[in-house]
Amino acid sequence: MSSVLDEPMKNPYLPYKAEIVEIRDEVKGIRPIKTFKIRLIGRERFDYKSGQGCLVSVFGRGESWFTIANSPTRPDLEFSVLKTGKVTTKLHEMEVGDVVGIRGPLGRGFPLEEWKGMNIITIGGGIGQTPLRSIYQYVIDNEKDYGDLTIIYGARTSRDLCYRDELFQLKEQGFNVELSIDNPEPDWPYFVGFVPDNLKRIKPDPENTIAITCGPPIMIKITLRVLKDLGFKEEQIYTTLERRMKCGIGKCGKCKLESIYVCRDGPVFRYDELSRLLEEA
Amino acid sequence: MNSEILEKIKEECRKLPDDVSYIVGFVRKQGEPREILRVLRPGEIDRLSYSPLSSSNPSRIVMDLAKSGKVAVIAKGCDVRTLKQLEKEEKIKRERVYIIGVSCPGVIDYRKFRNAVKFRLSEIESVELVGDDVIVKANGNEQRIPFNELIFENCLYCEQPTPKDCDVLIGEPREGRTDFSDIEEFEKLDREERWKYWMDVFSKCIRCHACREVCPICYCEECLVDPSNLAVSPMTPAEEKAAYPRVLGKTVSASDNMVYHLMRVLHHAGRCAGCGECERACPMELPLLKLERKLKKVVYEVFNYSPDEEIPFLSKLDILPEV
Amino acid sequence: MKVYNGNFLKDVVAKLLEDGYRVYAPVREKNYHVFKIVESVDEVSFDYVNTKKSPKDVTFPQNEVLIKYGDWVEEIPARVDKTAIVGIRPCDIQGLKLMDSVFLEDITDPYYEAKRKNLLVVGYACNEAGDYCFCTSVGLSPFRSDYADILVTDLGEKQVVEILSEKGKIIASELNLSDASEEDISRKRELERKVLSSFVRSVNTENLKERMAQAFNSDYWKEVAMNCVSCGACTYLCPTCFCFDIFDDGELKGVRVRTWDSCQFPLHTLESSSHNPRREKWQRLRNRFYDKFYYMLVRKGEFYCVGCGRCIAACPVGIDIADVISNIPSEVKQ
Repeated sequence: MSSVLDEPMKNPYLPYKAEIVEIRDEVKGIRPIKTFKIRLIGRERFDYKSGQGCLVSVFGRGESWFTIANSPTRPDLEFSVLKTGKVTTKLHEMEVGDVVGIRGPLGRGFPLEEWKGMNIITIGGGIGQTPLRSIYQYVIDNEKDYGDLTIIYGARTSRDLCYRDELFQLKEQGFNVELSIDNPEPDWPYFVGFVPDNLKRIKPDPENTIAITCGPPIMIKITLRVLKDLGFKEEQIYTTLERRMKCGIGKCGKCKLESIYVCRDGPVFRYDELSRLLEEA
Repeated sequence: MNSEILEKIKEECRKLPDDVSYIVGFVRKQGEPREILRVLRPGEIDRLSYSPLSSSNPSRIVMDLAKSGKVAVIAKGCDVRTLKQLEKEEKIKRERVYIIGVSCPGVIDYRKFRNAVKFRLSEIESVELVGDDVIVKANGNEQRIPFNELIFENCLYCEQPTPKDCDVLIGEPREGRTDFSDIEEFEKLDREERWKYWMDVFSKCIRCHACREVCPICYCEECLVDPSNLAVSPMTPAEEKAAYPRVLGKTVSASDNMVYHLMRVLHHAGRCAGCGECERACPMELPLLKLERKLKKVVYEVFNYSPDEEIPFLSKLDILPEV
Repeated sequence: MKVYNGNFLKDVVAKLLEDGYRVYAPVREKNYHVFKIVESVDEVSFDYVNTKKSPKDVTFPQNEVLIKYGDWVEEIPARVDKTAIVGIRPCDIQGLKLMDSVFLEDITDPYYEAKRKNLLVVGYACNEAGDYCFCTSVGLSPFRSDYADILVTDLGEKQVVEILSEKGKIIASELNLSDASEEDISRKRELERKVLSSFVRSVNTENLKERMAQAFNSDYWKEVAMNCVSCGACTYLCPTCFCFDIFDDGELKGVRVRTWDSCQFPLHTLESSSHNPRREKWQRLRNRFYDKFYYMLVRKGEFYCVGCGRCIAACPVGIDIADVISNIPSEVKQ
């Protein structure tokens, strides 16, 4: 019937057929987050870089951009979805076996080859941990190519932490995982406070280090200041930007920020590219 | 003649009560004889202008500005009618507005003007209404055009050329009239012809929504027909955003456009002042006033209601005797 | 340079229709002209300065179906009929070129490409500048276009025909052209001089990039936007505005459509979280001016404004792009 299985992305608006193979609850409550593991039907999963994203089609509702939450060294595609609007509400109602459309990989990913031999610090808040997970999974799977890995992550409460079990497991395995929550809770053995404060406490060494930070805008603002105070230069700091996206290929203008199309030239940006913009990113 | 009116306007502006913070009036646009609305301070009276091309309705600006201070406004008959309507709907407090009313003989249709005038727009120095003629002066030359060739067609059926409620009045009072002869003429066409006419009109609409955005009584933040803005906050639950009612798709087609226009106009029943901003704003020059006037005729004939009454139309419906 | 005795534009429309082309030509509708698909030469009228709407809907229609969905997704094959547009002005041809540079470069947009690939462009040089025209201020010429297939200049009883491409040569060979004489050429030059002197509008683009860079946070933009109603008429009529929205029409079975959208509408950048980077009207209006004269200049090296003046004529509240850009303050008091 259709040629979508044969010619990938020749028509960049045409999605691949994919099905949901696993659904995991990350955060429950009024603003729930679920992680969907999605497998392409009838074709190999395409290769991609950490930080790239896909436009996931829920037919009848529309498309939403999600950064791919797992590293390309792991199987299938994982997306962590916060229920917040038309498309995501329908997605949260879906079950294993349901069919969705995938358009990807889109955007510019993290330059992990350039970072070989360097130390990596990821600083995340809330659902901003998603692109960072793609980085640290890759670094863990390619341990020999990288220096020290530090994962700094925090959320409002312990129930709002994404990938909680996975992170606890990594901590047990000896990885340098620093978790935090905003307010004290009984039985919470780790840092209590905001993520930038935790960062200040940890005081990482900027020498030969790359820092990547994602999270709510206010957290990123303060984190940047802390990093600069610690001696990090703008060229050592990376972040991802978020904008309403529709076409995903740099045409429709919705995600346009000055001369940059966030869907095409980003969503990964090195901080010095953003600091010289006129408009506030 | 408009220089006389302008002098009187400036004179009144110099005598404004002390608590007036803003003046909403016309200034002449650079490079062409269009008159555009501007918010001025009481010290900037010399920038004011007035001519038969001062057609814009200042009510929308006054409505927003009156929240932060007392506003003096230079308003014609239809403008004051709109202000009155907004006051009825509790959008403006009358004490916040100081109305300098101007009795209006009608405004010039800028499209007709551009076709009739023989000078380049940038050369025109002044446009004056003297008696029954419009005198256009440019580079020492003059062109006389009969006013009835340039008048905005809507003004021929004006119900209120002289503002009813104003703090000062400039110009001689004029009689308005309730005249729906243009609509009656159109109603003589049979159904097929009328349908064809309107589908032809709606096929030209590009759904830019200029008509809605300039209309002073289309002030809803979230328009039901085609939302241009959504009142959402970080607290709005996802289910509400997901189930947001959508009356029209964003597809532009003659039938969808018809739904947009008819629904929009229906919300104006008994409220439209007939100022003509919608038709002047439309980039595709659609005859939108015909729809408004038809509805006005229906409201008048069936409910015997005119927008000049003290109570809003919907309130009148509550007190009408059972039919 | 060739000449044609008679009205080349009308005759080429007739010839193209005969050859089975879909022909877009200007048609008079009451008070203005618009480009429409014509079935016969009788519908056509070349007696105009410029059309009300720009002809961008030839390659970029207001609604376009991208895919159909139901059981699964069906691709809508992009149309590839041979199409021609006759009577398009040099400013609009430049608009076409600027849109090509976005839709055809980098990742190619197949729907746009299908319409553009087979499009024959027969341009029509201007005999006079309109009241709102300022193409010369942005580096364009009203009587020259490197991007047309054929460019026609009207001398009255005859028309000068410049054939600028292979595609143009093929169709021009079907009509009786003769070489331009010395007199023809000098008449054309005279006309060009006359056109250049008929411009009444200009934009001061001196030091524009620097002026705009340091005026970004100035209150000037709030003042300019005071009357703006965010209607989007300017963007819809503009030959180089191409923002669009994509949405699904139909819950279980339906189509995914793309439609024109405008950066002036508040919903354009509204995110699901309710955050809107351009919430205020003056931010959106400022974005339009910057996009045309600064951002796209940085990204593509050209102004994304062709000086057609349609936005000035259409703005219901009198915002004038030429005045706004010229008056950008060069010294900004912080």
